[in-house]
Amino acid sequence: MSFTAPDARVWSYVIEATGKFSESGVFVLKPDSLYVRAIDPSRTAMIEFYIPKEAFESYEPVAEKTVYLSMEDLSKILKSAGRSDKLTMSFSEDSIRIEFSDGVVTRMFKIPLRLEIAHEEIPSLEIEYPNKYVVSGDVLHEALASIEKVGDVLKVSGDESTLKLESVGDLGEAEVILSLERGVLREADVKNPGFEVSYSIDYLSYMKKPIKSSDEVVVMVGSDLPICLELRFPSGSKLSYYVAPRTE
Amino acid sequence: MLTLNTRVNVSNIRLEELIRGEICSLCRGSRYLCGLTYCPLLVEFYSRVSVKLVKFSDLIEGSSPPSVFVGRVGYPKVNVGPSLPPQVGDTKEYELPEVWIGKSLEDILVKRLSMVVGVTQVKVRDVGTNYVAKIQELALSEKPVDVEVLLDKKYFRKPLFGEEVPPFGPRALLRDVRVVSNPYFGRPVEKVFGDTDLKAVEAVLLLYKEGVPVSRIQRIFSVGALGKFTDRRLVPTRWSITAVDDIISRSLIKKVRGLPELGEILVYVREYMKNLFVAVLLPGVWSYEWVEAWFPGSTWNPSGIRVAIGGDHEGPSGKSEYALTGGCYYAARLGVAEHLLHRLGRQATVFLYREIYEGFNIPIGVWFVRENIRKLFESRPARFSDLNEVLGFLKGRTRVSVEEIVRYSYILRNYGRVRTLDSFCRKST
Repeated sequence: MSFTAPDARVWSYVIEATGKFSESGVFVLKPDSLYVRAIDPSRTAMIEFYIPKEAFESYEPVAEKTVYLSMEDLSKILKSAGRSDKLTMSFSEDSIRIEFSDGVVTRMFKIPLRLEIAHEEIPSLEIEYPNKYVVSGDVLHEALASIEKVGDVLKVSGDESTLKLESVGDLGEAEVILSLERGVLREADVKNPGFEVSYSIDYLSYMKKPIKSSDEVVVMVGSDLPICLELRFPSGSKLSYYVAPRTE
Repeated sequence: MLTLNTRVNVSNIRLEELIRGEICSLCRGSRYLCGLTYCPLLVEFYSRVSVKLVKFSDLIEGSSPPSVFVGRVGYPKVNVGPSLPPQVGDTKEYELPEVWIGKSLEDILVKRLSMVVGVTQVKVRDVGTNYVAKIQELALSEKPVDVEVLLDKKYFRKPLFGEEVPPFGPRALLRDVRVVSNPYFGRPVEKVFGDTDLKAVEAVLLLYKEGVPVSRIQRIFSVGALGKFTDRRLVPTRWSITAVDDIISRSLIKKVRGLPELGEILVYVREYMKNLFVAVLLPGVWSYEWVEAWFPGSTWNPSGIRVAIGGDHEGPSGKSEYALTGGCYYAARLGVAEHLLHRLGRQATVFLYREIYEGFNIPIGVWFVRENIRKLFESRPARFSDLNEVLGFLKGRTRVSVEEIVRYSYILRNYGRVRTLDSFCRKST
């Protein structure tokens, strides 16, 4: 049972980011797709990385398989992924073989499957979002990077044409406005204008690298709802990242 | 043999102009955050405390507690050597922080500053030399070891004080060292020392599990006696202290995270030697915060006009960067992790707080924090069901206002304010 993904660097970013809030994650290999899912122990943040069969260079699951992995161990290995590396992961009964190849040199790692890995039960979220904004990964990365140092709460609000990100802390206040008119927002589909909701900024900062490497991000929000960042990657894979709201 | 002289008004350094309390309380003489190439506080402190040699000879005989010093200056070529008081007998307490709580600071200082350190330069990877073998033999011993040190010349420097390390006495260049008595390692230490396939982390945990005191593990760790054969190296004393606190507490926390959550709020308060320690254990998953408030006139805020408050925290998945507050963060984390795992059998969201008052003005080492946190948890906690009740309870007990503490604390500020994703799920996989 194995697969080869063309973008080892994206995998590296996603697993590293996941390791920041969750010790373990689950790989669910299905005949037509692969899911990587994880939730943090306080059940505040959850990630679901979905890769359809077509996004792989090769994908050969023999049967449906679920594997729990230490994100810390995996992240240590994936960190060595180069810009033009392809990633091949092969699963056996007791170990995983990880290969990076840039067409010239192939590096191989083998890690044992640890049966004792503690894992959280991961919920399936099905939330109807009233507001959706589409923005490029670069822009959202820049916005988060510029306001994350100010405070520990990110306030998100918006209307039909703008999405406002604010942070207030000891240092002062920071505000970033992404607007449709100036072309920063690519799309806005808003049914509940005037909403306002807050999140712990740490959890959103964890995702900065995957956000930067994505093509575009769909920001889904609503009053008193978790935020969902849907990252879309060039290969066709998709990452959904949820963070629970704060009660102010 | 040694006398402590206190001189007043000797410093020509305009400290007020150089130091901001906040910077000093973060830096603690190790990172030079003020932009200077030396720490004016340590210089000022050294100039106040001078150690005079009354009578000394080239050859010193004494019982090392055991104690060794591994410096960090010049890394990877560092000063290494034995430390011993010039007296023979049971000197174990000279280097056993686990029993120092309850003793007067003068008593501890007199003992520590009477210990002479003989050093010679060694590359950290040269652990196979005869000299390092002698140092390891000494450091691994369970009981005091009779040692003779031959010093090159009578050149003594000021004693060593630091945020992480306990104080050391004056140092001299070392010509030779001879271990006179037979050191006894004890079975667990012998096992990990002899096992050159065992990783250092696993060796540290094995020693801890066998009941070897943390301070002894730190000493063994620093002389390159643990780990795989090719990885063994000398580790500067101050780094080894924090590394061992970190390794052990990480391992304990892994187990703590699998425990059920605490069912009520527990608050512990301890006052000791112009220090106040407070622990607030809250129901929730493991998260940890360490906050310190240095009052004007205390070690790292000597000339400030207001209290310097700083801290750091970690979420349930731990911390990858070095804590802003340095070694204290890890020493305190070890104390609370031990309590949660071994006594309460519960995981909790932990807020630890320390106030350091005027008069507590020497850097004494992180053992002071570790052992005080351990003692703190030996006391009877106050029990609450609501965080507001806790804040009311602390009012008047802390000198910094409770509102100010909450403002600085990530955990207190955010506790109970985040919902879980479970309330938005339909089904589970």
